[in-house]
Amino acid sequence: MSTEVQAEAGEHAAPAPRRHRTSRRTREALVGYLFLVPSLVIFGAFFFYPFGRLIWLGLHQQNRTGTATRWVGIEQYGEVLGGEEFSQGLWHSVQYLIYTVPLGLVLGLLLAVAAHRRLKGIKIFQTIFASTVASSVAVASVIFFVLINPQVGKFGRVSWLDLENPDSALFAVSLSSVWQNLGLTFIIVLAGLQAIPDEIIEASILDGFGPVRRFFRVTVPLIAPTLLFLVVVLSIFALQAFAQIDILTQGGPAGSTETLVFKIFNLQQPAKQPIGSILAVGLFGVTMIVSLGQFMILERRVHYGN
Amino acid sequence: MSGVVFEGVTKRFGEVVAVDDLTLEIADQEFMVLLGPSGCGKTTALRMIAGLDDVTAGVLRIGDRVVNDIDAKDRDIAMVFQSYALYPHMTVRKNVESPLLTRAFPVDDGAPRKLTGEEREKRVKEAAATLGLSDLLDRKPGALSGGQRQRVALARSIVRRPEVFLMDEPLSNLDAKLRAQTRVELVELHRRLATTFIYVTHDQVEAMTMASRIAIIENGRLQQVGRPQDVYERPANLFVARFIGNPPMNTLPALFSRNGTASQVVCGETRLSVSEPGSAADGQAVDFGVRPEHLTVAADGLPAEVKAVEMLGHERHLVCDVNGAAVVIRQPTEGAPPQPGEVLHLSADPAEVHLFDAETSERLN
Repeated sequence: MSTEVQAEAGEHAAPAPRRHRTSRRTREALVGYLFLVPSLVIFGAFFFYPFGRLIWLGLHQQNRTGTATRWVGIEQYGEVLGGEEFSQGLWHSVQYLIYTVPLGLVLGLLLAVAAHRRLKGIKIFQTIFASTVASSVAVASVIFFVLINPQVGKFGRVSWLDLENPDSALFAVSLSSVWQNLGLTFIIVLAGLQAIPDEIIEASILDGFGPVRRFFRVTVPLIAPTLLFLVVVLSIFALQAFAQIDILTQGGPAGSTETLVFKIFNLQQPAKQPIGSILAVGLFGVTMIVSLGQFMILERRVHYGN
Repeated sequence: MSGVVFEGVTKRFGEVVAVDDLTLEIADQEFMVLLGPSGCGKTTALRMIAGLDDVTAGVLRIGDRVVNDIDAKDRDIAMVFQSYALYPHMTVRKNVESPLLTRAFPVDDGAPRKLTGEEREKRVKEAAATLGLSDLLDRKPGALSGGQRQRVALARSIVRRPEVFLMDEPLSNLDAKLRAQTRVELVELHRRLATTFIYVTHDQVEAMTMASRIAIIENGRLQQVGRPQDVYERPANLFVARFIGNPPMNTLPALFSRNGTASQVVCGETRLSVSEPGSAADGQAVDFGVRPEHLTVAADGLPAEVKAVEMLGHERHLVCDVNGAAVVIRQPTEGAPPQPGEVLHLSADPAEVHLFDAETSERLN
């Protein structure tokens, strides 16, 4: 198409075809924006507008019925984000992230490596490993709850899974998250492993690499983009986790499992909504910083192939 | 220094027989090309030498050692893959160095030991210099052209100085011009290294131009082994006859007739004389074959209708129809070419007629 246009342009005098091309470009840009409209509408209605409203609410106070608001200004952000509520919630969220992300990633990687072998019947194991993807957080949490129930659970007597103890409750909830996310991690890592060309693995065998060296020198670097993606996604999952906490501990005992999201949820009465809004904006900021930080640190060590 | 010997080697994948009772002796320092169409088993044969596929039955030796049960990493071979299989996350230097990391090598005729970093660097630089990669050592494969990647793959294989080099269609990802150039360089490399090269390809031009001997494989079975010229001049069966040569040999069904000392093939209404009939019997159904350069246009002979004329500059090919079969004639470019639709009469050089048994496809003369 474009070469035809250029060929034509060459035959005529210069200025006229040039104008023709510019108008065509404008037209193409217009069409491009037109294609963007549907997603802009959806993002606008369900993300940009609510987010703007959240920021706005954080600048106000609200009465008990939510019928009247009063401007209090940016100082409220400083007070709340500097207060104990935010720092305590953030600390629980960060602990939750530290418990879930590395453990989930390592377990998913191990299962995927095990399932990547071409053994007979491996599909069955792949299905079992991946099964948590198909169960909802609520269902999985209830199953977990039963498993660690002190009266009937198989793991009811394990002290570090005790939901009644403030020292172990957050870890127990984290473990349930690790288990629930394992299917996703497993599937994505397995896909990453299957994308490695056989010939590269064979070349490393002929180069004399044993299984351990091969894993760390060849396999892991080649699936590094996948692992980076998972670190970011699992971190966001961890910072946003809510349902498993609500079902297993409702934030207890003694507030030891009140993550930032759970605190935001507890501040839903109209009078407390502005505080909740500020915590939500704070959580957004933390999530963004964590994700950007991971990208910046890990990106340098990640190879994306050709 | 060592050769490679297949003794009745068979490889099965489930029900599929990839390599069928292969017996082949590859001499030390030979440039052996395993040639055949895709899926014929040639790559499987190569992978068995490498140790990437195990041997179902038979004996495989590298040098004096039976390697059936020897791990790939413990065989003294290096392999260049069709896709080059470079590590994309490593620099050229690291890629070339990788075969040196885990193995022990004899240094200065002493006992084998692992190389120090300096010794490795020295070898990497030598290999890189041999292949003209010295300026590219710090680049990653993604920043290299196809030809450069191919050289890195070669450097990675020569750096460990193996007894046997295995190459699996290493030129197939290069463009035609680079391929022709690299062919010459590979022959040169083979001469300089003076080791055994085993080279798999489906391209008979590569086989003819580089091999000291060619092994032609079809359906997992060895069809013929020989020097390129021998295989070209005396193909052992119809498959080899049609596979080697470009354009391929013309073959037509005919009857053989022996009349006293005069031997002829009867093709339709036409009789063509044969000077060396071999074991062909009077009245036997044969396929007779003539290479395009051994057919000439004559006053009478096999009637052929010209379908197309291909001009190649230094020569031209006449694509003709003879009794429904395509026949190609190679001609010098002198004189006006015949026109499509024209009917020519072809005669064949009696000394250059190949006879194949119509039933077994085996060579008769």
